[in-house]
Amino acid sequence: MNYKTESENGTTTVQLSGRFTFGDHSSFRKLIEEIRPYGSKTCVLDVAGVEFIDSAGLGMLLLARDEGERTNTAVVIRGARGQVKRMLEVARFDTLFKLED
Amino acid sequence: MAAGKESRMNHTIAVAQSLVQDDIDALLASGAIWEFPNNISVKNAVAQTPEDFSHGSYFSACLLPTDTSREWLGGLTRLNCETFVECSSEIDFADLAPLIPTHDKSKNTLSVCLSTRSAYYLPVARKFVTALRHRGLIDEKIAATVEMAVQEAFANSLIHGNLELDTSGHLSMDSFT
Repeated sequence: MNYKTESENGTTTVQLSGRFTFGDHSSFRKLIEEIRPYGSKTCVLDVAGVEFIDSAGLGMLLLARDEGERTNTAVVIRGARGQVKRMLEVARFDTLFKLED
Repeated sequence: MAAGKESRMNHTIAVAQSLVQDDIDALLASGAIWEFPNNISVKNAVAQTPEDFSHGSYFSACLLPTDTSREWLGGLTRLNCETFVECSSEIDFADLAPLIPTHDKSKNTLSVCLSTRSAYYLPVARKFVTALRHRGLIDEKIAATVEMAVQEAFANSLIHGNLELDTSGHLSMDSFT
């Protein structure tokens, strides 16, 4: 999994790309630590570039949500498509996150 | 897949060039691949990458380099071979051995044996399912669904089996350090 971050006007946007699976824990942890200092009100996880996600990847998204709750940051998932969209639907992530196209 | 397997007693194995002959001999002698290695005559075909092997040749097994790379994992689709084994002292074959049973009547099999380290870092499920597709063992239409199922089974066995990571209860980033 690769990522790019940018922060502007109280919103941090993280563009994720590649595959998002159990082997990405180190990268994801590093990502969380990188964006924490921004102190943004909203964090948008743009997953349009993610081609595949497994249940471990879903778990990491939930950890991001937990982190957001601790820091009072709303976490939004944007741009899910294909297999990723299907996984989010099956896991009923619409009840846990704001999902945007 | 090309026809024409070699006779039971004479085998050609595809071997990564980086492997040391002593390690190859030790793996073969261990009975991990064949139950009675003394009854087997083995010829090595050596190459730097899977692309360097003859496309039409059949290999009874492919010995992958230690800390296998993505390039070598590509051998699953590239090579006319059903048994891929990482040559690593970290692998305990236990009741998996022999990987090629003496009286092997099974058809349409694909076996991949990797160390925990390689399995963790490589996209094994994706490559495995791609190989199944290339061999005509699953239809393109269901490949994506099969990949999801294989990925989950693979991840669970690696994380909860090999790594013995217990993720019951509250999950945290610390669990994975």
